[in-house]
Amino acid sequence: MKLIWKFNLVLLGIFLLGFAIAGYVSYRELQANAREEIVQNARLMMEAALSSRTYTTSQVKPLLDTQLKYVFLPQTVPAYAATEVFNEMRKKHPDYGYKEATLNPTNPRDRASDWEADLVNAFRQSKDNVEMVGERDTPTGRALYLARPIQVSSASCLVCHSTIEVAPKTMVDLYGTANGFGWKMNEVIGAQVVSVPMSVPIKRANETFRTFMLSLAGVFAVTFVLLNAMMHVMVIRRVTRLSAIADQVSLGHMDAGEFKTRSRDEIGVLTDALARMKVSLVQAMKMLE
Amino acid sequence: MNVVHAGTVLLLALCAFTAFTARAAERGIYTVVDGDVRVLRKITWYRLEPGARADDGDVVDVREHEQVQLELGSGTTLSIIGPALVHAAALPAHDAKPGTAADVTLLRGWCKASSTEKSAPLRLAFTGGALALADGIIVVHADPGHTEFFVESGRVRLVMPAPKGKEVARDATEGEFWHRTGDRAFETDDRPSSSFITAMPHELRDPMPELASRFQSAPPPLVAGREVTFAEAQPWLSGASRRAFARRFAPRLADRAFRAEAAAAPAVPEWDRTLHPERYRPRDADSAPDARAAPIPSAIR
Repeated sequence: MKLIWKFNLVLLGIFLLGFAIAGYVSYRELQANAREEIVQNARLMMEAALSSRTYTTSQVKPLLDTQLKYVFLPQTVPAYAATEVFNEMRKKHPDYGYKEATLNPTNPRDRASDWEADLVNAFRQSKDNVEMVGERDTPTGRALYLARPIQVSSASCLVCHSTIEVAPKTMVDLYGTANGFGWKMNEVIGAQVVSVPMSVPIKRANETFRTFMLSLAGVFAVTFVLLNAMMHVMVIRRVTRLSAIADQVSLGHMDAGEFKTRSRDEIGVLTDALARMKVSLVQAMKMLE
Repeated sequence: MNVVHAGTVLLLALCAFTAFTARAAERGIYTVVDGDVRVLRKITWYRLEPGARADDGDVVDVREHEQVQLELGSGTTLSIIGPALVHAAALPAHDAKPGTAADVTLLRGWCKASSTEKSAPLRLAFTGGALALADGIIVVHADPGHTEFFVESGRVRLVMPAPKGKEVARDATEGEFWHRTGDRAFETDDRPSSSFITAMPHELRDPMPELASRFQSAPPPLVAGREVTFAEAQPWLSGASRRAFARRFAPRLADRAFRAEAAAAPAVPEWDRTLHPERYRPRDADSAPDARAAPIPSAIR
């Protein structure tokens, strides 16, 4: 097997191994980063929802307290405000979701679906569980959900949700008496669930991975060609010439050519040595004659 | 030099005294005037401006969708949404004795009134009754055929006339809605009716802002308009305030058109002698010429 083939086989092996390792590591890293980005987005959305709730409770509701004596304004309810803020956002980003999934809600749209009810029950069973992150398939693709428990932590919640008698009449007029009552202090009554589509960050990560791997392959290809060219010019061609002359000299054809070089590298030194060897051989032959 | 100093001090003292007495005599400020609202003083209409001082006897005419807020010096506040007609019969001055009530009549329209324990009590009269508000907030809607009110907070006493010149009082508490049609008895409910809420101007759903402190400078001059017509005076020429208004509008009888309309309208006893002097003429004077041109008696001028 020719030296160039051996060299190329080894080089190709190293390249393929490096390509595979780099691909595996970068793919895992990019996917992990994409998921982390999704989780961070979900946390940011959750904080925005909490901010909407706090703003509504501390600033909006006090301004509308008088109006509540005449007509119930759902805009004063933190859950309603947070949901509506996200509904506005969903007009531009329909794949994102926010829901205050509640087992016994006043507003029917907040009723927890089956999988959300499972989350709520998980929170109810473990009080130490303050956040749950998971993935699920949706009609628009795979989505990541982030859930936090909704706990009755303020007596003000019970004004509307303890008993029908205590609840504002205007609220009962609007929502009826069937749902949203019987909540107890410190009870986990639902979960805030943020849903973020995974397709976009994952797609972006895949594109980054593809670009990276193509770039790596390109670098490998260029390196391969350059190394082969260097190998041919600097080693293969010179050694082939030396071996051809040495071969002719060994057969007694002293006029086959001169071992000449101006290079001082290893092959240059070898050429000089072969040139001296040829001179010695010629002198020895003359002495024998 | 001493004389100059003494003069300056005297002048300053006089200014301070004048300012003090002016403030002490102040009865209230129209702090919100949204729209072309007019006020009747004596017999002349004026265009109301924010910051104008209220006076006893002010009749405020608020047209549809217009609003006026009157803040009395003591802290009692009224917000009126048009179409409304209100008479501020008596407004306690800033230096009035504590407990002196403000007496306001809502002939028609929507009115929100608030009063606290520290502010002057309010007697808000309407056709066929009155509300005595000492500590609370009420929203009243009155028109000739229908009266309804909601106690937003606190309590209010409903005073109704009873036979033999007596009065019957009933207390209404927070959250109660009272309504009646015509002369029927008031009915109560534990929440305002949907028709009340639907018709209620949105401005009254919010707390009334306290704006009087913004108008501590000299009040704006009010631009005088025309004098009151008989059609505008007529609503006030019946009911409890008739005597006062008959006396107040009597100078307008000098106007031929006003007088002719007054003569054709249901009788106002106080004006009868002026409008129909022939009825009061001694029998032997029946032949006196041109009874219609009788002068206005000085007693009702």
